[in-house]
Amino acid sequence: MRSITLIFAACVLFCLNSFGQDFKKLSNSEVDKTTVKTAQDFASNFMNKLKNGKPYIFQDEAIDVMKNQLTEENQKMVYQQLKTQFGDFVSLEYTETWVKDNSKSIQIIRLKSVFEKSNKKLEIRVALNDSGKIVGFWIKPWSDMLS
Amino acid sequence: MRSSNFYNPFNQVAGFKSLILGLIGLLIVTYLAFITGTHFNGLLNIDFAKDSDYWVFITESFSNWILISAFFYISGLVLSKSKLRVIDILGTTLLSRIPLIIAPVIRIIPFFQSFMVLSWQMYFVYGFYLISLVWTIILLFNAFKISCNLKNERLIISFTICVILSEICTKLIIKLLI
Repeated sequence: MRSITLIFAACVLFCLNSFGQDFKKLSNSEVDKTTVKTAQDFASNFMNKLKNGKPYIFQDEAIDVMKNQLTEENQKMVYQQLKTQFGDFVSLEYTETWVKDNSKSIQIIRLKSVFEKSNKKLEIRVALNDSGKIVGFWIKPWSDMLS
Repeated sequence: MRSSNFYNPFNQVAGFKSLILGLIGLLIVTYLAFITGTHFNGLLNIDFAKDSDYWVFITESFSNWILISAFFYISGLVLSKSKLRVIDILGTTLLSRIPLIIAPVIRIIPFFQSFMVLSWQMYFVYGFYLISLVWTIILLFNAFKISCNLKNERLIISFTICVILSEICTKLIIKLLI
């Protein structure tokens, strides 16, 4: 019986070590408020501009790849798809921050957003690099499991 | 307490008593599911998202219960020679869902509230969910067997069909309502 317990404990420890995590969720005290505000302002302005039928004009808050991908046509298309499925954008709120490899080289800011026709909140995810520029932007159904 | 009570308590608890106990259990499970964002969006499904209001979780829990009970009742009417009591089917089916409390209880622990896909937390919660699901299915099977008084192939085949149909219908209804 004792040896079975030991083998079981070893298996559990092995499993815990095997699933190494690239990302870590920051506690509230560890979160950089400036980064959160940057992400929140960007996401809010972006969504509100599109809601009002205008495109979002990038300044120097994002890297060039992002600016090139989110062209006026792409922005319109994305918002139209969201509007058809979930209705107009209403609001967003900050939820949590994740960092890659504990280093804060990439910070992922997760925001919960409300859309008019949807009973479920959607995730607006903004990724920022260490110089505070936006390197990623996603809108997807909210999940407590970060993928 | 006899060990058989863990997988078949329905010889001792049935009728109105099981309905009341089951309702209390369902409300506790639903409340814990709500505060931890654990969706039971299908008879056999689980999803983790703190993304909706309380009524969404209530709808999920109730549609699961009502649909499987309805399919059990219809099967009983068609296949059983005994007189069926709706209250027995509703109560025992409801009581069978109590083991599902395990996953929301684990998710109260801060470690398990938000985690990465393929992390050890995910496997841990899914592992315990699987155990609670097997336990729930065994209880459902015994609930169906006792409340509809079915045996052998009739019991096994009709139970399997009921579970499959209620899984499909629950998914459809939840999608329609939510």
